Amino acid sequence: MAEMNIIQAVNDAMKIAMSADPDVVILGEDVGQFGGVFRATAGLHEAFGSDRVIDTPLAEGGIIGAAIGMALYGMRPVPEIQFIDFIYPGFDQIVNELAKFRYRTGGGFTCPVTIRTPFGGGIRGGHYHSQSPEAYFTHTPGLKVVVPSNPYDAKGLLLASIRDDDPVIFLEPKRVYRAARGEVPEGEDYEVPIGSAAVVREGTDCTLLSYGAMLHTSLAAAEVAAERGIAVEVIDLRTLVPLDIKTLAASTWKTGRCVIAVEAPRTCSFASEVAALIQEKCFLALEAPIHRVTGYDTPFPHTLEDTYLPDANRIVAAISETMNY
Amino acid sequence: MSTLRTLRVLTSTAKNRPALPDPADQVALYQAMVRLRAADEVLAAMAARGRIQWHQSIRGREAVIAGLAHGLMHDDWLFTGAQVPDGGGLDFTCGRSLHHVGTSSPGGARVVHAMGVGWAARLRGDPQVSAVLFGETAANQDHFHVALNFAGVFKTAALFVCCSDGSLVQTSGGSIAARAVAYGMDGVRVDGTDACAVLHGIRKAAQTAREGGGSCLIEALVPEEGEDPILLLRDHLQSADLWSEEEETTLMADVADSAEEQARKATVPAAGNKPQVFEPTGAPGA
Repeated sequence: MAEMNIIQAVNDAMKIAMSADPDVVILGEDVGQFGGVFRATAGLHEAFGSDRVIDTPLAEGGIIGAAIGMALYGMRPVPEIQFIDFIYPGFDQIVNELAKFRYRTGGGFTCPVTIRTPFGGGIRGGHYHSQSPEAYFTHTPGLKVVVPSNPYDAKGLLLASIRDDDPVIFLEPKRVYRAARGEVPEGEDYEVPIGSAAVVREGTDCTLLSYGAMLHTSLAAAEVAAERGIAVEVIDLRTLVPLDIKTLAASTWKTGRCVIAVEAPRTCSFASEVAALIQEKCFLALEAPIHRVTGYDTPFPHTLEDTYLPDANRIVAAISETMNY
Repeated sequence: MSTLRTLRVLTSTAKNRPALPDPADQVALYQAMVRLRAADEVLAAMAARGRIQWHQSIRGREAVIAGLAHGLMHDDWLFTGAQVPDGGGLDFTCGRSLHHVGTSSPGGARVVHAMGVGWAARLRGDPQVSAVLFGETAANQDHFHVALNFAGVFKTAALFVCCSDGSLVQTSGGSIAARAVAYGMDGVRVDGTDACAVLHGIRKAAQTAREGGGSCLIEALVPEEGEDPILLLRDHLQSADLWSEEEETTLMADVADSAEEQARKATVPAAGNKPQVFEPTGAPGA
């Protein structure tokens, strides 16, 4: 075991995937010689060469469209989109092509493409470097959407994603890229299964659902709540599609209360979908309305980032409101 | 305006015109075009009667499709417009053993996929080439630019074949092929009613790509009121004594038989059941 941050864990996963399978290739902007703007691909170009760790032109539609072609040919490309805010030029390729190839060809072609991309705020990057648009992708049938919150999961989920025969949008929580540290078996090949949530803190009073960087804010909120005598059960979704609704529902049946915390703008955020599902599955268990703690329905602000992003106080307020309903 | 000349074989009297392909190739092109037209007519009729939902006719473009399919080799890749999966639509491969991807409907997106396949072949050191057939409107899409820029940068083994009626009403520059210069690849304009010219253009470009020389942009001109590609080649074959009345009669009888088979294959399948909707998507179902 070694202590790693998420960047190192992601890097270790790609190193292992590439060593085990010559069909795994990385492509993206500055992923090669430079090693990626966040250093996620550092050292891979030296280790695997420029035919497998490929610097591309700045054209996301080209990166993803080319990855689709490579996947059709039999490779397992892992394109990096430098910030998810830059993904929109590739949106047509993702939504109309990548997500639908298997369906449209009657299973004739699969597209094992894993798009890695950092998402979310917390680096004072303004709206071109901070958005949380995961709901666009969870709304697109044919895509899996995976979001680790810690190094161990980041490595295991990325290995599972790369080896999945269907496309995966792999969202990396950039705010905790380096802040989230933990024990990771270095060089060891393991997978964390796609589609399974994790109960990261047990509690009996209120279920708190989150993912990515917001999971850490949620844990801080649970700590504050505990000081006030409220035992919060915190669940890390880890995968948004397919969603492990069984685990979320079982917890809500136990606690009778549910709060969902995400960074994304409120309307039609993934929190809205989770709230609808919990309401369907746990209606008779609920003691209070389900609360969503989200970003606001505004563009991601540059100077008011701390106001925009949910913090522990906002989550604790939602928990209190739920408890006192 | 472009100074590119248009490559012709059958209709050219120029001394430096490319040589005709082998007689066997000429006959194969002719047979392929006749079959394409017959299938196209069956599908158009069935669409008109509501027996199938939709068919986009390729009438007049048979030489482009036949020349392209025959210009590729076993195991090469071919991307074309939307066709019904499971073989209900036109056979763009003309019976040749190509990997055919024919389900991407919006014009531009598949141009990038074909580039990706041609790039993957290069990365693996394989001899395969990848070709994509698209219309001039797709050349207006950002996908076109992105694909050709990548192809130029990475010398992918991809052939970009644009079938154009030459009017280019919404396309600047007067020629699609002329754009190739800007992407650092060869640009060729061929007479798209002349199957031998298309075959020559494709074979030459495919060989270059196969040898690592990179991609090619081929503009196949098919004017609205142009020559009938089938009559053009048949006249030539007959005057060159490569095609007899007897052979014509036999081919037509065979085509009539396969038209019925085509119709049966293209008939709308019975309404699907629920598992069929969910299974190929990996969706959890309902």
